[in-house]
Amino acid sequence: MLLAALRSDAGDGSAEYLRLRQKVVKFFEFNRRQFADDLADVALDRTAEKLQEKGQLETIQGFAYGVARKVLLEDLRRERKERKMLEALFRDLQLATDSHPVELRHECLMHCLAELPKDKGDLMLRYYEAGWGEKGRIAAELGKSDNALAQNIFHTKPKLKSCIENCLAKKLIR
Amino acid sequence: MTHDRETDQTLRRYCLGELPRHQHRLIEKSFFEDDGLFDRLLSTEEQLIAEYVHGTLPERERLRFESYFLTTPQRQQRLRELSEAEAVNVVAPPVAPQSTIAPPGGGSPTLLKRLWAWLRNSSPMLQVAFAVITLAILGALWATFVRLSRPSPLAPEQAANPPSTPSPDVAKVQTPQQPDANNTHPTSTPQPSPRSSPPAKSPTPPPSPTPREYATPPSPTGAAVAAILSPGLMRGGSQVPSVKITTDTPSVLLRASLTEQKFALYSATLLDEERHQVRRWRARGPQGDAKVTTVVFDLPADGLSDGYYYLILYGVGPKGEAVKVDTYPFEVQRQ
Repeated sequence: MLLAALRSDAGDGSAEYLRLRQKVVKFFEFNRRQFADDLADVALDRTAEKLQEKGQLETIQGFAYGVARKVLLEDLRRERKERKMLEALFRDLQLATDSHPVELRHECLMHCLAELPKDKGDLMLRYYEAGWGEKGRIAAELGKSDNALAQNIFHTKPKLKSCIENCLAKKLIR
Repeated sequence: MTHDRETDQTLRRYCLGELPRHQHRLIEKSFFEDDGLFDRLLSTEEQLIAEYVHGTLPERERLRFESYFLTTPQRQQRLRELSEAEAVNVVAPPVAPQSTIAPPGGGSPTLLKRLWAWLRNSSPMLQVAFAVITLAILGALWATFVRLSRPSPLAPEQAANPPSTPSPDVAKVQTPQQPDANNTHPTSTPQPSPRSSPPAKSPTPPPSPTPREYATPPSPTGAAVAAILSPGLMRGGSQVPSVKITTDTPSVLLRASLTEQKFALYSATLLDEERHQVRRWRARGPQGDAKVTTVVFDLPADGLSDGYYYLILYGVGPKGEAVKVDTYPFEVQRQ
């Protein structure tokens, strides 16, 4: 659909599509996104969906910019939320939140969560991402009481903490 | 001409993130709709990288380039490509964790090459001095290596008196409050149940957990697992001991260690992580020596599932009343 809409007298639209994609990728790069290619795919998929819904767009380029901008804002929001979760978890584990670059801390956290048994790693992530009131929902989903869930988290933390400390120490040496 | 220069300057500032927000957005919207502007933006970006590689970027822009522009993997990759293509040595800026990973073949060989070039161009006296210093360093390193590789005179003594190991018939799960010296010994070994016949001696010892894990190894087929538990709901970062059981484990012996022996008899209840009672034991006397006194409670392994448990120990008072002594948390891992 997007290709068809981009089709011109000169070609089948593939060159125009690649050009548009390059612009979207650059847009995310200039806004300092780590995974510009992935975000560009999301933005172009959404543009194609909208095009299918509406049938026709005034200018695809301008519309794609609008969609890319929306995807960017969503990604910034996700990043902010993730950073907040990371800070909360590090504070809770009594680890310094300013001793290492945030990317490094994130990398170590993800590595150590993967080291835990899968259900525990997922649970930690969900628990710390959850806002007020959401923790009760997680407990209910798992068929546990709020207190049992908190205890579960409490007992998993020391293992996670020692893993993160080791990981950060190794990264510094490297 | 002036207009072009202004546009280039604006694009340059856009690349370095120096434009006000509204202008930043305006450029973005414009390059989506204007192919010519987009091409100029691409060439501005390339030009910035090239100037950085050649070291011709003004100081202010260089700092901005490193702190703002070079923060995505794509740009760091582009910089590496351009540096390699032009065979220019660029010191990677410390902007992201990626920079901590040494590029293949980077760093030391370049430094050595520079040192070699400098040495070749220096005076003969300096060359001789350098050779002497290098030989002296190598000699010192060799002497250190020879000294360290000699067997230590203490070694035979240490072999004759190995550090004490836990008795083989006592399986033990240590809590971090009572770690063994250096955490080097296996923290537990399986112990036969008093009811079951002793297992045949195995020529190889059971696998020991890694030092940071406080866990029993899974029991050999048919053997009971015993665990020494230490009291306390450990606050502030200690690890809860793990009791690892398999489908073949018939029973688990929980040995609650006493910090002080106040009572002649002790009873206990076992709670799951929901604090529901799983089991209750009648009063019994403590066992052990002056060093470690424990109260042993046994239960079938199939009564335990994965999760956290709390053994609540009660002392039996003179009138038969139960007095809470301590809580012993532990984790069960079925394998």
